[in-house]
Amino acid sequence: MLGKLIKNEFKANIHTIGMIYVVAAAAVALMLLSYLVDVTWISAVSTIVLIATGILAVVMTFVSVVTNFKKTLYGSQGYLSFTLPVTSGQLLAAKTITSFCWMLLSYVVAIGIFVGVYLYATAMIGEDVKMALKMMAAMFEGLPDGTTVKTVIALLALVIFVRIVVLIAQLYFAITLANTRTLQKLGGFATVVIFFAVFIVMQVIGVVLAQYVPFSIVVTGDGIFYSTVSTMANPVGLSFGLAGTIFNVFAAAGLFWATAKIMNTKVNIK
Amino acid sequence: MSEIISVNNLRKSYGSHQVLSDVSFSFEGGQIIGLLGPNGSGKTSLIKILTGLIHDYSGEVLIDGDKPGAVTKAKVAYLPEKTYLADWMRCVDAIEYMADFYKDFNKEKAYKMLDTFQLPPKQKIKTMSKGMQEKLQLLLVMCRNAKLYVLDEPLGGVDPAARAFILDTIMKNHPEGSTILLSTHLIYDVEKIFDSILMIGRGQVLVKARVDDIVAAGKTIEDLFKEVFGYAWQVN
Repeated sequence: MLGKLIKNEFKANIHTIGMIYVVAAAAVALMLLSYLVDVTWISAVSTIVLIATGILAVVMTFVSVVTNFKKTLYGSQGYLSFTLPVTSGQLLAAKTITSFCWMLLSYVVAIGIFVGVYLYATAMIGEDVKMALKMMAAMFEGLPDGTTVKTVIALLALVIFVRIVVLIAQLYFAITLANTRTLQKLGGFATVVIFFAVFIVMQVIGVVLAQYVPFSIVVTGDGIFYSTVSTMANPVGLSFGLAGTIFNVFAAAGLFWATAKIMNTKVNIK
Repeated sequence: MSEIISVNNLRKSYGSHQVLSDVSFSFEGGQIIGLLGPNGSGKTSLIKILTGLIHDYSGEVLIDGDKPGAVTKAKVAYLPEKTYLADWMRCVDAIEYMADFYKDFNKEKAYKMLDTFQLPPKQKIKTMSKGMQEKLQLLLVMCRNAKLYVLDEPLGGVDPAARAFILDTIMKNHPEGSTILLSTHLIYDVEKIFDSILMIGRGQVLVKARVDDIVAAGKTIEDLFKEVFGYAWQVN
C-alpha cells in the first residue's frame, strides 16, 4: 500500500511542482538556442527566466509541500485520505518520501541552474569554460586526495538529506498540531508560530550541543580527523558536527512520531 | 448473520459539548438501516467514528468484529456529505485511484456507470458542477463490493428527481448481503427502503427498531419521527 500511496502522491504533486520543471526545461532549450544563433535578447531573457526558475523551484516546492499536506489530510480531501485502508503512519511516510524527493530535486535543479548559468555567462563573454571549471574544482584542491573529496561530498550529502528530513518533520508537525480542535480556529497563524517555535528550539539545542558535546568530523588539507574540541570560536577546515546531526535525526524521528500520534487521536477534519 | 456494527457505551465530546453520550446499539449484516435524526443530533459524529475518521472517543466500536482502522476501512464504503476529490483529478483518475486502493472496486462497472451517468471521463473535477461531483462520488462508492456502505446525508440539498436517481443507484448497485447505513433527516422519500432504523437525538439513541415492527404497530417511520422529535423538526 505504501508504494501505491507514493505513486499517487507523485501523481498529485506533478500537477503543481512539475510545471516549474517544464518552464526550466523550456528556458534551458531557449538558452541553448540563443547560444547557437547568437541572439543577445533571447540569451538575456532565457538567462533571467532560468535564474528565476531556479529560485522558484525551491520556493514553489516548499509551498507545495505545505499546501499539499494540509489540503490532502486536513481539508475536505482528508475524507478520502483518512478512509483509505492504510494506517496514519503509511500516509505520513508516503508524504514524507515524496516531499523529500521533490525538495531534493528542487535543490539539485537550483544548484544545477546556477552553475549552468555561470558557465554559460563565462562562455558568452568569451572566457575559457575549462578555466571556470578549474576554478570551481579549486574549492577541493586543498584536500589531499580523491578519498577525502568523496568523503566530503558524502558528508555534505548526508547533512543536506538530514536538513531536508528535519524541515519536513517540522513542517508536518506544525501543520498537524495546528489542525487539532483547540488550535484550528487560529488558522495558518498557529502553523507559523508552532513551526518557528520548534525551529528555534531545535537550533538552540543544536548550538548548545556543538558547544558542550563538540564531537565533529573535521576535514582540512591534512586529511580527515575526529575532533572533540569546539571549533565554533576558531573554525578549522570543514567541520561536520556529529552531536547536532544525531540530535537532528532523533528530533525528526520524534516529530514524525508525534505527528502520527496527533493524526490518530486529535486531528479534526473540517 | 453476525453483527456488522456493534457500539457499546460510546461517548464523544468536543470540549465541554457532549455530542454522543452512552450510545449502545448493534445491527446484524445484510440490511438497510436508516440513521435518522434532526440536524445536530450526532449522526455525522457517529458516522465519523464508524468510518475511522474520529478516534478520540470512549466506549467500544466494532465493525464486523474489528475496531475502526485500516482493516475495517477496506470493508467500508463511505460517502461523506462533502465533495472530497482532488481538483486535479478527472473521472478516470478518480476511478484509477479507487481501484488502486480498494481490492473490491469494480473498475469495469465504474466506466460503464460513467457512461450511464453521462459524466465526461476526461473532464477535470474542478470544472464540474456540484451535482456532477456528487454523482461521481456516489459512483465511486457504489462500484465497491463492500460489506458496509455508510452514506452520510446523500439526499440532502438535492431536488426530488435527483433524490430518486440517488436512491435508485444505491438500491441497484449494492451487493446482496451487504449492509447500508444511510443517514438522513428527510424521511418521506426513503422510509420505504429501510429494514431497520436508528433514531438519535441529543447524542442518545431514542429509537432502534425494525420497520416491520413499526408498521405492525400501525405507524409509519415519519409518524414515529414526528412523535419522537416533535413537529418542530423539519421532516421533509
